[in-house]
Amino acid sequence: MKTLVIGTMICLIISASAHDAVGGEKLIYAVLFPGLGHIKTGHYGRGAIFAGAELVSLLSLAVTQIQYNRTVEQYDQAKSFYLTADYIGDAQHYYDRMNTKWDDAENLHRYRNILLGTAIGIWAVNIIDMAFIKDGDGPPVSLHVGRDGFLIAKTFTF
Amino acid sequence: MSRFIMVCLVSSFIILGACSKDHQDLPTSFIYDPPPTPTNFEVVGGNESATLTWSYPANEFGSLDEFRIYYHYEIYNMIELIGTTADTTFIDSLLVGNLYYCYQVSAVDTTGFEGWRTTTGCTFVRSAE
Repeated sequence: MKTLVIGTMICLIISASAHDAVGGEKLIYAVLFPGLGHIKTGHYGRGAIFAGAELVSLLSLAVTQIQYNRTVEQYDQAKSFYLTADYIGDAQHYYDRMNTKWDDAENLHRYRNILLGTAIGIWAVNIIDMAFIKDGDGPPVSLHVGRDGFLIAKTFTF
Repeated sequence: MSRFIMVCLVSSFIILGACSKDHQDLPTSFIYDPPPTPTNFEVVGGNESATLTWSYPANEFGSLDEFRIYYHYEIYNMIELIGTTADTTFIDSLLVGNLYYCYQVSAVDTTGFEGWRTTTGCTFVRSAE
């Protein structure tokens, strides 16, 4: 967990430095939520990929966190029953249950940290990508005028 | 901009803090040392009574508090405590005849911890008439 906190701090420092170096409102959006900066600058495809990946990571993280909390509660309950058991059969039953729940909690803890790292990684890559992306003149818009009307075309950039 | 970064930092710590609940270490080993299970458990049916006998290691009687005798309802796999004794014999009397009765026995040490129960012993109890 400490590693993740330090990683987050490093990402924020990088983003702050990138903002100072590159400047622009786009970085604020990129820091706010992955993909938002790209979408604001017209890179809809890339923005959708970043935003989608971040959403999936955060949703999975939330689900894993809920499951983990529930498993820890079940583990604590089994441990409490085990420590207060007055029959060997109950003690054995709750000891086995406690071991199973502890294994489950270990696995969920690992998955949760991986998902948290993934979410932070996507966020960091998004900021770095945003910092080095070329602004250009915005998304190209073309106008074709015909005899019976006109056509406005907008190009999406990935 | 620096204020914005500060807000992001604080938010990140709050989010990470919500994920910081960790499970504790597993207790090292199984801490209980139960009293031995009674052996040679036998149930003999009589007239509206049943006599239960069993053996127990002589050197374990010092740490023994009592034996617990249970009815075992095999259909429901449930037990019911019907009595205790410090002896290795128990007579269950005033029973209804023409029925099967099943029993289990366990030993309880001086700390109040109960050991494994014996396997179920059953007998047919005759009617007195």
